[in-house]
Amino acid sequence: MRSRSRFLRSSPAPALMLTSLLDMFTIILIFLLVSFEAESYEFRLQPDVKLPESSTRTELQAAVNIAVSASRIAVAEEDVVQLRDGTAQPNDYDAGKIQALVDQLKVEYEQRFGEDPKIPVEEGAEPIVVIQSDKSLDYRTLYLVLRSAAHAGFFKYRLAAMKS
Amino acid sequence: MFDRFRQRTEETKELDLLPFMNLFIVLIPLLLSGAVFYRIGVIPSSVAAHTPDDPGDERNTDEVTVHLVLARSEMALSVSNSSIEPAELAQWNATWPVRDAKWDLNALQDHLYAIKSKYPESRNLILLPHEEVDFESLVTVLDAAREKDMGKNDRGQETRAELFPGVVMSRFVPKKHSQVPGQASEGEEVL
Repeated sequence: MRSRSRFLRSSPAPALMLTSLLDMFTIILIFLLVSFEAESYEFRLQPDVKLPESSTRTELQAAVNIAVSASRIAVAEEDVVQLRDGTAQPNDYDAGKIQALVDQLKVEYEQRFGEDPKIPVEEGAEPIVVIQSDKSLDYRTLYLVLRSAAHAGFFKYRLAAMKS
Repeated sequence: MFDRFRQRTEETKELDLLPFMNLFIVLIPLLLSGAVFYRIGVIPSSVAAHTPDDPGDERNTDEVTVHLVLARSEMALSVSNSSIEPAELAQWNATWPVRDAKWDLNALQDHLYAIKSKYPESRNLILLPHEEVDFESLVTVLDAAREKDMGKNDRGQETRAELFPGVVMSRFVPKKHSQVPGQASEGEEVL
């Protein structure tokens, strides 16, 4: 008993080897810092949108975001129009635009490019919308969204896709 | 003397890494919360807009505008430029039937590359898909029409040739009675 307690007393307290852990953390930190810098523009992919893959190399730039899923159309993450299985109302197709979407995009246009802009845009920036559309959406609805954006003053689009 | 040296060496303390660890433990979750692990690219496009004051650039005979119809049964291509003889332009017209529910994108890309070689200033492609084309299929066509993979160069780097990066989206509507020769299938119309 006596000899055992002496043994316990004499053994040094085990020290944590922090050096390797620190190396690992340094590598993770550098990786995260680099990727953080690369994403200069915040783009939030909507959870109900699955983007197709593309070989495009064009980078994303700041613009008005439109998300089109099977159930809704959102502008700047705010739901504007409800869809049913990726289909709008029949009278929207007849009119060639979705009026609620046009109205919302006109507000966005005025805030950026109107006479009294409230959202600052870069000098020389053009009225562009980034469209994140679900890969299963048919062209009929997609074209309706494009035309609606054109009615609001956005004639140029950036179709978002996952880089392959 | 050696004893003194050994004593000094033994007294050298290790770096206290705990403050670094604390810093990292704070920084890493912060950066992880803002990190994005997918890479988004965009395909620039536009819709046709009529500008009456625009004189256009069709006087340049080094460029043409390509019209690509994506019909249910085939893919049809034609080119236009009011300054070039229609007979010369007509030789570039082509159609490829849909096989196994797929478009022949390699044939399309080779044809576009030939057009681009003949008219190197060309950039614009007007795309006319039918209504039921899904967005994923559209993107594969756009990828094929915008760039061509040219393999690796001497340095081992992959190279691509620009084809028609200026995409204008338009609409292709089925026609009920007549046919547009050389551009669409029976019962379909280009608008």
